[in-house]
Amino acid sequence: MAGSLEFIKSASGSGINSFSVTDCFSDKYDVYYVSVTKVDIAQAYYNRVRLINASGIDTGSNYDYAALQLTSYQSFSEVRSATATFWLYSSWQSANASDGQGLGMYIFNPYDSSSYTFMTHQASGFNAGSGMVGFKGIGVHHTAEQITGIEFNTPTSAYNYDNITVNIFGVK
Amino acid sequence: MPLGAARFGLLGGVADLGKLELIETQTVSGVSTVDFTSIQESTYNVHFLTANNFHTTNDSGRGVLRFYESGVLESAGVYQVAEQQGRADGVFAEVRSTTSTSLRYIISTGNATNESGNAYCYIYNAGDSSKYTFMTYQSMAIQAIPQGIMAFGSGVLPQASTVDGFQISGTGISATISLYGIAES
Repeated sequence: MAGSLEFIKSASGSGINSFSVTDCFSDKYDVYYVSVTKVDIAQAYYNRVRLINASGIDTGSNYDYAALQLTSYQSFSEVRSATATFWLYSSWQSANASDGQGLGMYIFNPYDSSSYTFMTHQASGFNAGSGMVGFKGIGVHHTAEQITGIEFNTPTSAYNYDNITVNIFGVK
Repeated sequence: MPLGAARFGLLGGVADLGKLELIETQTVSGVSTVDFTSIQESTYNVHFLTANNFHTTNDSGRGVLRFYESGVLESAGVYQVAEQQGRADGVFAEVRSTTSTSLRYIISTGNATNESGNAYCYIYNAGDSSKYTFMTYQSMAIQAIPQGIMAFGSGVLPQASTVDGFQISGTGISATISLYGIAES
């Protein structure tokens, strides 16, 4: 039915610092909504995002991002890069299991091999001992290729996801 | 390296998930509060709340959001907020608090004819008693000056509790406010 949000896939993982949702993008939709709310992490950190192409996770310097970090306890700050190997600042997750977070991300044109893949996101998280950390930003994967999946990661196993659930929807 | 389905609980294709479903629409005139007390928090982990044609009887009135925890309205200074504002005349401002008595939602509007505000927000983990309840939002309005203003931001009720209701409040509110649920696994 045109004009609706359609569930594609839910994936959950634990004990890892690289979590992939594969084969979630297809020629059925141009726009996708990615929702992340259930995250526990071993050590507080940002959720970093990479995309998956025919060869696997794209680890190249193909990611641009720009975001405003909004905090309840200190001045806001701009974060940006034109040569990143991931979208760094999608959201913040503290190590306190009771915190959780709210991240909503729209992905545009991932499956179109003739187009870059674009992203907008907005998030709310919590930095234990300080306060709320929010983000609003954009990203682009500046390689025209077919993207079939998305990966969330942290730097090392010291920042393992104790639990993470990602939900993918198509915007019809 | 992508990890296989055997390691994760993949639920693709399950029926009745992923719909943006209307829970309730309220069209109000001249009220101080709008309550949504049947939010189906055990069904929906993410809620989507829209406000359309939001007017207040006072000039520069705004709409704020509070949560009900197990039926009790939380109005103490326990909310945390961060908002970026931008006005059409070039004035931008940050607003933040760790001790707010409400969440910011609809940016302040003028009360003259055709001056109104509109907004949407996502609310996360309301029904999960083990998690904080988070929200993100974006709003725009015509202010009393008059000129356009936008605001976006994030908020949290940093208490692990069951949120089972939402309240939008302001002075003499007239608006159409709709609550949707996004079904997830």
